[in-house]
Amino acid sequence: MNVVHNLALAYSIVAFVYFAILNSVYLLLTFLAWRDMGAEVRARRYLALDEMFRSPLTPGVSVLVPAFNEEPVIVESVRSLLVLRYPRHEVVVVNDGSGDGTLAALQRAFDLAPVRLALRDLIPTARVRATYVSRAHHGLVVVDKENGGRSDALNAGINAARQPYVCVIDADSLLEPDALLKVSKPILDDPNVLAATGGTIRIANGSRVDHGRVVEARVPTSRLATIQVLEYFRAFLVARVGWSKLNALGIISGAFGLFHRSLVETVGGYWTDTVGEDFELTIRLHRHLRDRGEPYRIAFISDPVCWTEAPEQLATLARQRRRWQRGLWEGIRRHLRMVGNPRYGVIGLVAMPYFLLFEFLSPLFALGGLVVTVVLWLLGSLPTAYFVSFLLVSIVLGLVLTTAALALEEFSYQRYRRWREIARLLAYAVLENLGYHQLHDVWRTLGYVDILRGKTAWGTQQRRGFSTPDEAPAVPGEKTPS
Amino acid sequence: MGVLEVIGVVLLATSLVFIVVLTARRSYTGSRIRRRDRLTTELRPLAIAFVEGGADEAVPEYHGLEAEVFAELLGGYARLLRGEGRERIAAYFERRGGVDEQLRRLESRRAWKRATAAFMLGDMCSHRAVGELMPALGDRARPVRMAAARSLGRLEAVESIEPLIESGVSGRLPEDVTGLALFDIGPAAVPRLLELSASDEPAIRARALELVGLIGEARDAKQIVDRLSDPAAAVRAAAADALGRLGAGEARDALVRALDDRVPAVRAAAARALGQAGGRRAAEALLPVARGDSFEPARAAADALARIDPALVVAAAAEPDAGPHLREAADVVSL
Amino acid sequence: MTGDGAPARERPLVLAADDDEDILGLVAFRLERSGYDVLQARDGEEAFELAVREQPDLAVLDVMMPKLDGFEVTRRLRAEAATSRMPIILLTARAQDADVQQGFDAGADDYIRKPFSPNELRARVQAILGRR
Repeated sequence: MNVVHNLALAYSIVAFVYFAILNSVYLLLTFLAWRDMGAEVRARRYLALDEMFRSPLTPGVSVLVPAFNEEPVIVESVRSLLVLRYPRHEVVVVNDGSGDGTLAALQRAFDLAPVRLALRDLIPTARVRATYVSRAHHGLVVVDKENGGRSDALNAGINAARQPYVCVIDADSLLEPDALLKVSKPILDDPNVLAATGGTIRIANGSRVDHGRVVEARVPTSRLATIQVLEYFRAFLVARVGWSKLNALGIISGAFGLFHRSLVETVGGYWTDTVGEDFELTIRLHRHLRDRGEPYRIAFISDPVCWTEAPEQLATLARQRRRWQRGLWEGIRRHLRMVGNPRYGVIGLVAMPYFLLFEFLSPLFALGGLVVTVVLWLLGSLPTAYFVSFLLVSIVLGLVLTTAALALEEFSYQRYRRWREIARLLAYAVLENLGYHQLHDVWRTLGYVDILRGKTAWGTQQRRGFSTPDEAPAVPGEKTPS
Repeated sequence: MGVLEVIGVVLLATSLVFIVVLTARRSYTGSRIRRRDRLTTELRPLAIAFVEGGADEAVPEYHGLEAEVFAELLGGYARLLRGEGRERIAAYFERRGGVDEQLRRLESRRAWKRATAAFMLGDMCSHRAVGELMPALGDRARPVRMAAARSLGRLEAVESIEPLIESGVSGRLPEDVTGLALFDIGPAAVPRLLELSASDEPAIRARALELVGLIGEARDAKQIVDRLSDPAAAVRAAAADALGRLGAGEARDALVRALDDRVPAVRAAAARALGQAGGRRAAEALLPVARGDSFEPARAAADALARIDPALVVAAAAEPDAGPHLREAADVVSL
Repeated sequence: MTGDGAPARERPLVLAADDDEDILGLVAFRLERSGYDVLQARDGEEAFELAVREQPDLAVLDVMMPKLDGFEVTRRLRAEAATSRMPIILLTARAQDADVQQGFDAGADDYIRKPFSPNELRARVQAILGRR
């Protein structure tokens, strides 16, 4: 009994240390993000986006949209991509063997005509059944292929792309009109050093959408989506900005990333045996570029925004988070030799260990540690002082960081116009600690189970479609208590 | 327990501070934004009338936020317009001391202030700023150099052509920025660019050729045809692209020969240029390239053929050895 | 004066469409001062509807507009019998060769790149309308 008791105590202390380190890292990232935000706001005065738009020298971008069963959202999404403010771009939609009416919806909306497009075969993919171009819209290409997964679809898109840069987007996303210009500018200003850039993802749920543009950003009515808004603020506006400043950005999100096409082709395209293909590709690019030995940067740009639809049902969100856990593990395992390896600089010494310990293994410390600590305290084995400081270090500090992230958004972007929306976000910053975080850790623990059982499939997504001004933001009958 | 209480209180207080700051800032900026929007709508017609006004008309006087908004409106018009409107805008900023203020800021110790000043001088349209902007091309901070280049382009500063080209090639400035500035300066830059297309440095030759293609006129084509036999592949490709843009009638034969170049990028550029030049000989030469060459040249050749002779493309695509590029071009032509 | 069925007017009517208020105001001002009446539209749908309803003598369209872009508006106006011969000038920052090509393919009569000279715009409008 004593051994168990001591182990439990040790476990609690390890969890304590874990939270202390995690939140200190976050403090550092928050500090870096604040400093960067100041510089970024000032830099807007001389950003010269108009110049980039009207310049005949600006290179072209192929926007790749892998689509699997995206019928409710694909047309609106593609529309937003076609009207992007960029001088030379094409949109390549890859229909990954959808079982629903995705292709039919595209054909109706864009007047597609079959054309035998010449495709490169640098990256092997599942069989391409047909290719189409739009008669009505210049610069829209649709590749219809047999199902092969998101990575495979992206690789087919790369094979079909005609421009020197590729921008990878999710099919349920709406890019802001200037987003492509803003995410491309750093690369185009320094193409020999910048290898890839990523932009911010924001949650569109509940916002007013008109003709493929988010006309008015609103905090979602769904509780689950509201909590995700906070998660995405922390992840994008704080964490990625901070990591990017340290040149340790471990992931360019597959929902909004820009790459040199030649570089992605050189490293072999996306890896098809993973559900975390965006993470794995970013790590592989770091590995390749460090092995090559030349200076490079992979950067996160917080200004360009991609709006996405977040899951509002517990089951869908759970599946997503379990999938992310698996993706994380698959990427880390493939590049395990980089973890703690000084040869890979700050990526090997800081970013990879962080992903392993503080992202992948976090449920062990966070949930397990919390449970053990609560039990021990209830049993009287832990002094209350210790218990209170545990809560401070884990929950209260987390709350401060979330408030800081909200303030950061307010100072730089101010997308939410109304008072009560900020109040709602603040309320959920507190509430998310009372149940959601724990539930999230449960899902991630189930992710371990998936990994041990060798699960590989993507699971089904449930698409609701974007709300338009005529519709109420929440569709009756679909709201799930969360 | 005392220490913990203190820490707890401090943390919670920090959160509260953030919240209070959030609240205060939101109300402050909210009303500020509304005021600015209102002023913008009010002052816009006045700005338009001013910009479109005669050279002798008085320069209006504004103060505080009104002056800021009016200046922003004029800056916006500076970016949109060519011609007399820009002179009116220059008159405003000179008369109201805006140019002097920004010239002073160009000496600031903070890089972002210098960069902002360099950028704004381009929108103030006063040619007097050129003398100060040229040295800014060599500023130690990259954003300042970039803003200076952009403004020199907007001011059509012929004096800055050399340093712009040199900065682009040496890497001190991004080539897209210097390229656009030279493009803005326009035809005045062409004679110097033509000289530079014979420079010792292949990178400079290629760059100069690319810009001649964008800025030059048809008669400039004669002088760059011999660059198609340049020892450097990048230069040959740039020459082909430039000839395509300029209208390459007399270069047609040389371009057809360039279809046999050993470097695929040059073959592709030659194909693109022939697509603009047209003609029977070009079509005949492009056909085998479209059929059997590697991806980029074949793609370019097929597109070029589609432009010159769509009927030929459709016919050739029907043959068994047509290759994927002719078939694609034929399908597109038949749309 | 206008041989295509549009009503004869004292002053020619020009439709200007741009989502940027600054440009719209400037173009309207210049054209009004040059002796034209100007209709203003702020997006592609509004531009198309106004054009069909009011039958202006000429349209000056931006390309990058919300709802319908300038190319699409041009195509639709060409497809409508009543407006198929309406002169259309595209005034836009979209200045790549492919864009100019697309503009003319869509049926535009002229293509002016931004930054532009209001004088030149007026001259081109006058040239086109003077022909009729």
